[in-house]
Amino acid sequence: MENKDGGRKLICKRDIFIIVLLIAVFCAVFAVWRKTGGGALTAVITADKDVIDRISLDKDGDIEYPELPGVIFRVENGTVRILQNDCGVLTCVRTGAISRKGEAIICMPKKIVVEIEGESEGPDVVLR
Amino acid sequence: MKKRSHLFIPLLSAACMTAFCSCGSETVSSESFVFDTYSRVTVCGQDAEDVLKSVGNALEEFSGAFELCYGTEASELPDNEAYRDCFDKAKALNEVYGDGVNVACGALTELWGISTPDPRVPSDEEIAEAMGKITCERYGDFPDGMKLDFGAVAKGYACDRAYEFLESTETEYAVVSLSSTTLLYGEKPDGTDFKIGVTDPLTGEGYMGIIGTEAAFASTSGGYERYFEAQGERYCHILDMNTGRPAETDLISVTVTVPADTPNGGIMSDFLATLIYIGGSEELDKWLDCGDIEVVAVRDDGAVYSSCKGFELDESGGYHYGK
Repeated sequence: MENKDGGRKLICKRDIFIIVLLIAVFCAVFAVWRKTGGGALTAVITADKDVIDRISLDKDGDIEYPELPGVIFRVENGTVRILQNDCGVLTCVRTGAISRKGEAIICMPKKIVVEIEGESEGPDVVLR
Repeated sequence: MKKRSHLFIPLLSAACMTAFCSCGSETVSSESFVFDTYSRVTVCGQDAEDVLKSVGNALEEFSGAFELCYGTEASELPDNEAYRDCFDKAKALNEVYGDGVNVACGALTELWGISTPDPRVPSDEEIAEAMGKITCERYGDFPDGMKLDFGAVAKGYACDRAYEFLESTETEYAVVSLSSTTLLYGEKPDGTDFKIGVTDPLTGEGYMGIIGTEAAFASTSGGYERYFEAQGERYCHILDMNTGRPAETDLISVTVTVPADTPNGGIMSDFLATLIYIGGSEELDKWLDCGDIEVVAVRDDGAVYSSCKGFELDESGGYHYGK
């Protein structure tokens, strides 16, 4: 079926190359988009609606921020919790560890919110 | 011919990919700190941005007004239509369901200060004195020292007002989440039920079950998150109006759902969740047979009682159906 006359081919080698390249770029962009928007779960920490940090829940450890003195966050086995807080109310510490999309830890005195975002299935709303 | 094919096919593929990427709904949402909690409003429909803004502003206004009641004598409060309206609606519920929830209990709430950084256990005399200041029959006839506390109904009331407003718009669906009370409005684009996660009251982590429901108001009451400890005892933030002390109940979480088209369904769900929680498992039977009002209650031994058709218990959390 080879047609020696290249001018009549609908798709030539260069076309295929460009298409493959486009698909590769598309997949790469999609993969990065999934990674940042979803895929692995991420905890977003905000204080008075300013984003302080986004932390991936696959790396264990304790985290502190100079903007949030007196607060220690702990990431452990795919969960995040507020381990310590000098806010005085401690509702946030009692909330314990969260790990599913839509769950949140809230500290009203310091207006800190830790929320899980990601692509996993979750309810429309969580009552607490 | 050759040149054209070079451009045409890659361009076509690129166009298809872009189209695939850009499809998405016009759902908008925003968050705020109102009603002493973190709230989120999501709106989908015509003029969603404007609707979202209006709902957000209204929530902030109500929240600010109700917050003002704390520490201010009722007779010294500024005129506000929301106070009278919410008071009257709560009183109407009192007439049907009894006085277990009382919006005139501000003096008592303040005495315990449970949601403040400095809670304390007051003496019996102090409690008796505060109990004398929690009666108010009619809005405007405020006895000396009486303070309003809309804590048990404010979120439900705000959800009612949000519902009224959404009805005047072209909103397809909306979720107004005020942490312990929520309004699920309209219908989701994929036609499926709304899903409500009910927080696991024993651990405070994750959900103990999921309620699938059509448009509804839903509220949860529980003492597992807001409490304080003194002399080895735990005092939850929900006060029992009969004793003037934090509720002593064997229930640890009560969730109530009411269909969204129920008049004043928001304040009703909020009020009833607290009332049923205080009443304990002994009084549960009558609540589990209430028609459109559906209840999921959890006892401290992990027994779950539910009259909620769309409720699915996650038994991996150590809970089991009671009875």
